[in-house]
Amino acid sequence: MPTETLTPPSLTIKNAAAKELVEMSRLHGWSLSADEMAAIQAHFKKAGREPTRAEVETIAQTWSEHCKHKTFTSAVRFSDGKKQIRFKNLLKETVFAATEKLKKPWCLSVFRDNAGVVAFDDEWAAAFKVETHNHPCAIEPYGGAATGVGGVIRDVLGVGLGAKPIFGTDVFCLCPPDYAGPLPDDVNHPRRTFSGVVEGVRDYGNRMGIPTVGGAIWFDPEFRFNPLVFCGTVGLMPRWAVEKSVSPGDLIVAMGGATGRDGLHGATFSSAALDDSSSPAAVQIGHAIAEKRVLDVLLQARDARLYRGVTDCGAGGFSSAVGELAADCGARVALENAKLKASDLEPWEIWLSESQERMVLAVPPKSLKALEALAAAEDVELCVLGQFTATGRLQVTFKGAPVVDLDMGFLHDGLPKKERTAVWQARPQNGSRKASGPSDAAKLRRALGDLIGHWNVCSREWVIRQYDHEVQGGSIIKALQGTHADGPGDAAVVWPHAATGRTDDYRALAVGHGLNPNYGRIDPYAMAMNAADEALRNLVCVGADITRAAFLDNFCWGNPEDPKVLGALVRAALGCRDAALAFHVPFISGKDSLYNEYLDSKGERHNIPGTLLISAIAPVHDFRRAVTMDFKAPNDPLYLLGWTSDELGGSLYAEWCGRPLDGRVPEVEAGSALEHMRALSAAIARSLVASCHDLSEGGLAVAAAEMAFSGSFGACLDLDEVNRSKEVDSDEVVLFSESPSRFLIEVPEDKERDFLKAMKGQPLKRIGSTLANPVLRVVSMDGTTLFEEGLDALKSRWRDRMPEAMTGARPSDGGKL
Amino acid sequence: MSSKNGSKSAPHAPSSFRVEVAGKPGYEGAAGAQVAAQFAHLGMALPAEVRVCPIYEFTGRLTPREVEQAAKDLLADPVTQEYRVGESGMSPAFMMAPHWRVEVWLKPSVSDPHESSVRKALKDLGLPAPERVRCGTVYKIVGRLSAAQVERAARKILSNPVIHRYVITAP
Repeated sequence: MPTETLTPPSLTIKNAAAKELVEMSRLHGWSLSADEMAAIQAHFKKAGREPTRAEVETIAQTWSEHCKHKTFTSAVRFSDGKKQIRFKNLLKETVFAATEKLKKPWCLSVFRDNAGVVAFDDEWAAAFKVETHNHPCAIEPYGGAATGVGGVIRDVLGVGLGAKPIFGTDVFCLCPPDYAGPLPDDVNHPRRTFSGVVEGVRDYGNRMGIPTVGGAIWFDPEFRFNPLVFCGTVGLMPRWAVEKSVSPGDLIVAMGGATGRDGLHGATFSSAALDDSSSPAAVQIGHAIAEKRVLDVLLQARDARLYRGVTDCGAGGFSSAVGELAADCGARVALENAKLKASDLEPWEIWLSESQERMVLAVPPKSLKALEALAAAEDVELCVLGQFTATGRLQVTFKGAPVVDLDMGFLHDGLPKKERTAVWQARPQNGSRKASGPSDAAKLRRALGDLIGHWNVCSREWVIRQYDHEVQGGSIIKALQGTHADGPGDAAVVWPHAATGRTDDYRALAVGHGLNPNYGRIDPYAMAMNAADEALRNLVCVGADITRAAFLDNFCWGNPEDPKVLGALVRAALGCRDAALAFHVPFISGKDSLYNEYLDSKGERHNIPGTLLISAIAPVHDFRRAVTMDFKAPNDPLYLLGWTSDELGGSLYAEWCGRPLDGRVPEVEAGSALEHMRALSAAIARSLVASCHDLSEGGLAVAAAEMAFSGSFGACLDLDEVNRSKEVDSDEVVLFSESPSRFLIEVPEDKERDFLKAMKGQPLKRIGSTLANPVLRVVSMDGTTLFEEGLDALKSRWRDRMPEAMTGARPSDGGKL
Repeated sequence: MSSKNGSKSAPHAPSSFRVEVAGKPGYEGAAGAQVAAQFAHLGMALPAEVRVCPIYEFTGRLTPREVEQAAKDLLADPVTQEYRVGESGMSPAFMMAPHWRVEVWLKPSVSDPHESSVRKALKDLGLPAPERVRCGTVYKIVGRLSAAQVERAARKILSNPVIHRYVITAP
């Protein structure tokens, strides 16, 4: 390392006291801990010089929670009161260990690139990535959500040699928009957060011409300070493009938007809690059209094989993009070559800027001319920043003066290892509710009406209709289904060959999600198992092949420095591992967002409930056989697949009763569930099923109501016919328990025999039939009619909740079923 | 570095032009009604009418004729909209009952994709590149509202103070 002083202003850390170092980190917004600052100090002491600001900034970005996942990859000592587990690397020994053990040959790129990649067929591969953009959405919902979508699209563009984004899927956890409680002045009202986030996703996806085909929304007031916004994109790429290889001598080419003073410290920002003084520099407005042009150049250049490597400029900007691509070789960058929005940027600002819509490529010198011509034709700016080297160093200069000169080894592996403590204490089981004796029919009927209009059940049409879910022409099973195209679909099915032009190939991709923070309040392990189960259930409902399914994880947690918060995270990670192993479904990529906490003006910390999203992707071998969830005909037999137990803990019904955490949380029996799920998806692929819907929030009652009013046919259900465990002794449990791995299935009358043959040995029971009358009739376990509810009434409660809260309008006033 | 906090207001250089675009009668757009409805969420009486109009500011190197051309060929839709440059040209689209006027602009520290699209389009039209382009939104609010109420609406509904600045003009 050269010992002469680098470009001023250098920092003086060599002889600083520990306290001064911490203060320095806080002042500059680096989010580096005392240990990390000490490691940096030791490194530069050894080198015999002071670091430049750009160097410490680069290290801070590279070591940030956003880029390094330092909590998730750290050593953890976990104790649950009974046993202790020591992890050397939490991620490697849980989520990732399951993937390694399952060794699926169709997993082409897992946990090492910007997205996970699985084989789709012999020629094509599918890339899938979901990541969060929580902190920016809290401050500026519209810009935050738009750049979140833009970022995940670039992740898919930057995986391997680039995949063509073919659809988006977005999940939000928000406070209900009609929240009327107190809020600090600097916190956006949930209504504003909700509409802003939806508009941001809408405008970015729609303008880029990428359909947003589905997703999920979870409402809970505990997300009022820290909303969660998960943006997902699926891309399609030729299998030869899965790997990138950067060679010394390749040019470092930046493509796309110019660099400005945008979003500085976005990565380190993700390591910090929000408070009253959160910085506006972390917020940007996305420019979808600019990114669309970059996409067009990139895919043409990929197919002409004009570059050897590509990655996106996300958090940390050039510093992390170049740092990642050059990790195994080295790089020399001359920052004066960057295209700038403003002339007064300091070198470290150019290096760290997070201006959107930029990609970095490794281009062999002989291909530069051809790439420049392509870029010029699409009106995309391009500049050569420097060259990859074989020095093992990251060397950055500005007009000849050195700015950064760092050893790649220290940059990527110098982060001091820290063992963290995690504690988990099981909640004491609260007594199960005993409600034997005759059912209170009026109460159950009221419960159904309230639950169907509950924020976590009600129609998402107000959101979905803002998204373009048809563009590119590959949307097969859409988010809204049924006779009036407004029923709640389970999983989206998209036909990738709409993009390749192979129109005689009917293979498609299905994507589903599983998420329920309420279960996590009782036990994060159960939350993980249930999320995996729900994501797979959604895929099964449309007839996807779950033997070829892959998972993505997204952990959103509070402050992991609190051992209890980290303990819950470890429980969830263990749940992910066990779910993956039991369902034989590997995780292919993941992301975590920690420090989702709000520090109010009184100094009180508000953590979000630990939330795990599991997203699943699987092929549908012939989309012409995929089914939707709406009833198709009267007098069809209705079957319930799976066992019903007394599992109301964390359920919507328990919440409705005012005791949300009472009772047992649903427990997944993955072994047997996998067997009957596989049988069902095979039966659907053989066209033996007319409609299928999984039982989730609100249990059997809500699922049956949704299928009925979406298809405009009624149903009669006999609760006594339901397969149930012994302890289930009341109608309310059968109606509202949220036991996992269950499906309500409508079988065409003439295929009933074949269906039963295909499902032989599975926990399947006929519990009723569809009706021509638009009513939901429920027969009690004692044989009397419990209630009969009109579908019109149920549907309007379901459909009106959201538009009423957002716009004051009630769509059901406009027309009947 | 001076623009970082974004609180400095731009002095009106003589060569700066403002173009405001408004829907012709019958084409005022639905955005106004949506904004009006949100006043209820702040516990305020609904305004009698709200109109939402784009506004542009160009600084430097464009002659008045060129600004006129940009407004006519680029910024306003000739079928449904009218425009005015500065305060001139009172046409039906700009006739309104006395109203509060809230202009919302992005802070200079925030990059504006709308601005770069306008710049690009000016270039495509063969017009000289202005030194500066700003794109904003004007909310014209008719209703019995106090200054404090309009201020609150500006902060909570019409802008996000993290990225925007606003200017309120009383009726």
